[in-house]
Amino acid sequence: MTKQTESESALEKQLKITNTITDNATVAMFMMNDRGFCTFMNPAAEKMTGFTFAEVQDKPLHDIIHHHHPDGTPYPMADCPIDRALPTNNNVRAHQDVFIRKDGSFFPVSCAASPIFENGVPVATVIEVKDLTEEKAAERALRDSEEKFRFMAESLPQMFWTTRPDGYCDYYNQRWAEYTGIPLDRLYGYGWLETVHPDDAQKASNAWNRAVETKTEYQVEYRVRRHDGTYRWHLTKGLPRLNESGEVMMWVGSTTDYHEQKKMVEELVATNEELAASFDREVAASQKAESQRLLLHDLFMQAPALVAIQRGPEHVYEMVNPFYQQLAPGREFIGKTVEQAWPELKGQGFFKLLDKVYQTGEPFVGNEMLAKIDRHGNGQMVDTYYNFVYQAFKEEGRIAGIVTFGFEVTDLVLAKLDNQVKSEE
Amino acid sequence: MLHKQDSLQSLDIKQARVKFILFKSKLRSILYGSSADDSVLSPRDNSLGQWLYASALAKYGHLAEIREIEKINLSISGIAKDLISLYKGGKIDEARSGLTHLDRWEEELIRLLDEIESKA
Repeated sequence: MTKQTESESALEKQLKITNTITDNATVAMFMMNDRGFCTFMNPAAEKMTGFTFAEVQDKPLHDIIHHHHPDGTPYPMADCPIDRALPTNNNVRAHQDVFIRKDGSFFPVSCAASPIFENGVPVATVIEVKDLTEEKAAERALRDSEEKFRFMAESLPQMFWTTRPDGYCDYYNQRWAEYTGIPLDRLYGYGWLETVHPDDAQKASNAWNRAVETKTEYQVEYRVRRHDGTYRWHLTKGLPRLNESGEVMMWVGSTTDYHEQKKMVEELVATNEELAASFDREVAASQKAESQRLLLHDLFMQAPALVAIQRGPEHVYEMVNPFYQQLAPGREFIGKTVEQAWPELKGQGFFKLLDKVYQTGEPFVGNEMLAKIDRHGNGQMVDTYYNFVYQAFKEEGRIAGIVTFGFEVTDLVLAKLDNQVKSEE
Repeated sequence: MLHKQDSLQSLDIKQARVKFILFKSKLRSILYGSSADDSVLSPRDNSLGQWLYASALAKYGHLAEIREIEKINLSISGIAKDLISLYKGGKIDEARSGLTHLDRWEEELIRLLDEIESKA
């Protein structure tokens, strides 16, 4: 093998390696001559732009893939830092720009341009281009999701916050500043502690420390000072966000004013306590009235006198005691009007007296009054005499009925009459 | 004037309903951070218990329903204990929403009280 063929074969080998590299590179590679015409593009460059090498021959590369800005304004080649690299002998690195695909769509790129000189003469520029479409989209998605989070957090009616794992508060929504009257820049970090009621500070920090220790959700109530200086009860809830290995990445939480609710609950207890107490009083009063009623009932039933109670304008019998019953032993009284119970008394004046007492409320005292009654229900009328009183009774301020209280004095009157007759004789 | 007051009985029974409502609102106030007395924890000292042991058992002890109410009183005391311990353990929301566990006992209590009123 000659020296020449040896070096040719080495060159061929080198070319093959170079081709393998450029053909398989994921980054797009271009080479331009000193007039800006494309002299080489690798398959990644064709794929990225949509042009084949043959299609980019008749104009400078700038005029094919870089001629306009995304806003539609022209991009003169003289302004292009990539094209300026060679004449200025300047390496361009990580230059962010926007290129145009064959279909006319724009796409973000990052590029490097390296000027090549041969014997001090500028001959070419090597350009590497990285398509940033996906990277930019991911950045945008992240920004969108942050904006979404902020929008959500700002739209919440309660105070919302996030902290770093160590508890340093790195985000508060605007509600905090509005509610506490403290500007956000003073709240960042541990500024919220300033707003906690001194009596609740220990409790709040205990709950927080326990949560940090256990890495679990926590809830705690404490008073927060409002911008007007009043302390109001709040419920704070915090939730840790954990990564795959269970470490806390951040804490997210809300602080909600429930002062009104708490007040209402307390008022409700007071109201219900009052209600229960008044119920107790009412039950006690009813029990007392009931025992008085029983006492009165016993008294009437056992009294050695005639007692009857009649209710209403018709004088309906509600109660008669044994002495009264003895006036007419077989007769039914309860539930009957006085006229039904004593038909034989009609015209003897008693019904009118009852009516008058019921109407006026003035008691009537009868002294040795004669009543002709059918005592045994056998049609035989007998003369009977009574000392008695008709006394109206009231319920709820109005006359409700009449109590009859009396003694039968028939024997006495008859004896008196007898004596009278004898003395006259 | 010597009419027996029919209302006394029903008043006495309605009292139990009021006592239950008082019990519930006392428990609620504890779950909202009030330093109310802890009578809600005791079946004997809570307001329904007072009604049971001060008067109702003596008056209606012969009715099976009153024994059922005694059991309800034990159950609601248990609920009170659970909810207060949830609350004290920092499960504030859970404790408050747990108040609804009393509802079914309240319904049962009303049913039993109606029964007692109709029998007494």
